[in-house]
Amino acid sequence: MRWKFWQTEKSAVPAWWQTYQRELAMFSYAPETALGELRFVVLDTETNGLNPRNAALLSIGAITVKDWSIHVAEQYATRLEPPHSLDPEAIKIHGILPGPSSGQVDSESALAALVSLVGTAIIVGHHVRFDLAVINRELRRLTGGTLRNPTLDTIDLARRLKGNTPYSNPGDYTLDKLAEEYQLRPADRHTAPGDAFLTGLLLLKLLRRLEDRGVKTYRDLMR
Amino acid sequence: MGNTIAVRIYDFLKAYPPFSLLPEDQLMAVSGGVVVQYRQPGETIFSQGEHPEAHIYVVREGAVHLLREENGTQILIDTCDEGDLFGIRPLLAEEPYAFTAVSQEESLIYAIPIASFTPLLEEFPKVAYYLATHFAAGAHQRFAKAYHGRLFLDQDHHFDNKFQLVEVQGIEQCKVPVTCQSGTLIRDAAREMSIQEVGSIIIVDEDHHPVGIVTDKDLRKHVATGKVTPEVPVDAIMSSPVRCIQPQLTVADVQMEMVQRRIHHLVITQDGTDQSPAIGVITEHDLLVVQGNNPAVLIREIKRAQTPQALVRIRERAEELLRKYIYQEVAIGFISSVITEVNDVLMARVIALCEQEMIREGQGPAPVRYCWLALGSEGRGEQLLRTDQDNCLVFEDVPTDDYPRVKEYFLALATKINTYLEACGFAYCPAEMMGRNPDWCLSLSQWKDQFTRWMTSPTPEAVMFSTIFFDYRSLYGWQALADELTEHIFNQLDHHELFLILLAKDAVQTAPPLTFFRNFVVERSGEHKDAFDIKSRAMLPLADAARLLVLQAKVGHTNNTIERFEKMAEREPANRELYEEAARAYEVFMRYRTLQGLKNQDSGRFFNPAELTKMERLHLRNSFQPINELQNLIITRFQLARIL
Repeated sequence: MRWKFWQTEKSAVPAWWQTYQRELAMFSYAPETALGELRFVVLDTETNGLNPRNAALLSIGAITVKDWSIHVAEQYATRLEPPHSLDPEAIKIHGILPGPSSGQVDSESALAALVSLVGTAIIVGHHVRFDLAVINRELRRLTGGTLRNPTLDTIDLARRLKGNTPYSNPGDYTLDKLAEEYQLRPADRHTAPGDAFLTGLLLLKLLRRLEDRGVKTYRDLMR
Repeated sequence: MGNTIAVRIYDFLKAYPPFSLLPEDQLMAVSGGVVVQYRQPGETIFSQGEHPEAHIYVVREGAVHLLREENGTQILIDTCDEGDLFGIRPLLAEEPYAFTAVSQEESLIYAIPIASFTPLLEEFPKVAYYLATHFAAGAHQRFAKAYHGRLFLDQDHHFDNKFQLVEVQGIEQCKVPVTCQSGTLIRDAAREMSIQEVGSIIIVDEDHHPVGIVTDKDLRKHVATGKVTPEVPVDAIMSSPVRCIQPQLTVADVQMEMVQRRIHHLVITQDGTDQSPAIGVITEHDLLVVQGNNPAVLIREIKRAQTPQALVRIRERAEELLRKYIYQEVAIGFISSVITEVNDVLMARVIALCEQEMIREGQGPAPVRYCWLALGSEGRGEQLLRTDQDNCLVFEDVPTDDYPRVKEYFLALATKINTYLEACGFAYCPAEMMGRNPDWCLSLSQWKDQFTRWMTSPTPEAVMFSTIFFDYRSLYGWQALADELTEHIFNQLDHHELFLILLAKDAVQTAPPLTFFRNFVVERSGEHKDAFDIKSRAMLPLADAARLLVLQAKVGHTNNTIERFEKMAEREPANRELYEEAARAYEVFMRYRTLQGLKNQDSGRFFNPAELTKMERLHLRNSFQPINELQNLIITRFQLARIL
């Protein structure tokens, strides 16, 4: 039946995605919003490869930063059901073995939870383009859409603080190097939530330093 | 995957009180709600007078200063570092913050929602108790009686205070048991026993659970008599089942078990039953060895000792006893009375030996009656570790003509006594405050004159001597001499008001430090030092205050600082709480000094704050508070504000 066909078509877009899109469409930060009033969601993922076209998501960690604080209660962390074959090198690094095990969820549940945490926040990550590329590839498959939030990369923020250095070594901007430079104690490195937390701390330190240099508002930050 | 960030926060919090007092699941729930705040140097976290927010705070990294604003100036109240809790006012009272918290460095602060913490206060009284005692707005009720004077609040305590001298001692040296498997031939078991030089062997199964025991007695009874051949398995002659007992046992437990069962061996197993591996064996003989270190035995041996060398060895054993008492957190009042008793008996024995030696050397017995007085900490009955000797001698008045001869005799006697005490481990007083010093070996009238002089013309030196000599206690000889001296002093006090005022001034001269911060002692001025002198900065201010108060109140025959405060608490109900707190603070300092002294094999007087655990720092820090209040009370009572 025509009516039934229409409903099936409509329900192909999941409810959580509709909610996300509706909220995002109705929201944007005023340019004068102070840094402390912005809501950030810092995320990190672990994948089984480095090519965003085919790398599978193994785990996701995301945490909320606002009011110059990390809100531990507003976080999301999960492992995903892995595909059947995994790059042995990735297993060595992340310790995530193939095959389903307890505490793992399917890709749609994981992304639904992540997207509802993200909401209208500014998405932050370290080398976040890669994480977003993998997440958006999955989202496109599930919903036909991608995340449209404003996005910040902690690498870019760190570069901004360094000023106009003509030459910069990419090796100086790894999360480990920056954690060392900003005296953060890395722990649980190479787990998604551990890296998201560390990146959150780094974000706070970078934002404070940028603020000292005149980056006071949303407009200044996103320029 | 759960909240792994919360787990990380949990891992941090669980090391610090009061979070260490919470069960895992509760603390995990609290950790999950934490807000991690990033603060810049100079940033205000909350301000004095501000209405409290919904959080309490713990420093994760960095440092926070708590400041109170008074008349436009900021006074440093406390410095908080890693693991310190602050801003808990909203938990305790609906009042504005009493001070301002400012981040001193780049700091990470864990803000814990009050909503998640308040319910825990009711459910876990220990947590509420910890907060109330360590952070209550007023200084009072800082220490509840149940925990008084304890340093190891984070450990659980089981022992009862109503113990006999020996019963509280734990049995530490449970030997690794000599064992053999069930089925071993008697001959092989007996050979093993003689190689290991033991009187018993435990027969165990394949899981190392004890199934029986064979002792020398069994071998005599069954094998030596020819009833059983040594070529059969031990199982034929072993006593089975064996009596087992838990590892945490005291002499009392063991004694009870042995007497009730009429047995001489007990096997220590992991859970106290024969269904867990054997880890030790304890015999009646072990019990006797432990009991050999009980005070009654030590005192009996001291009284019989014939040489100073024998006394030295006995005194070393008293130190072992002290160590056990301190680690088992036996009440300081009890410990100091035991150790003082041991010291007193030892000193009396030294003096008696010296008197005999004088006779042997042809100098004869004492020409007149005399009294040997202990001064300073020994005079107060507070000397736990052997520190410098402080003592003097008073003899009966004699006709002027006889005086030189009599004094010469007592100087010779005192010199012997000081020498022997030194041999027993009581070092010479560097300031020569000892009986062998002609200035401190005097007749009763001369002593009366001396004390009168100190009171009439209280020079700084006189005040200094007073703080040592006024704590005298008769140790040996004719006590009436000491009593007469005390009476004289109290009579004189009425005429010398200025003396007490100067003593009071002296008592408030040294303020305790503010707190400990990382590896430093923080002074009120904010200055940092890396060594802490517990004697002059914490104990002497309390001892001086106690002496002053009892002198003014004319309470005689009470030298011990703790007892002095207790006496004052009875006399002045209005200040009872403060005096009781001061007594408990003194206990904490005595215990801690002794602990440090035993650890470092010294007087325990100086130590580096880095040697303290977080808990110990908190405990010591909180014990500084009564000193301040006491000094304020003295300033008011003696109207010192005019002369300071």
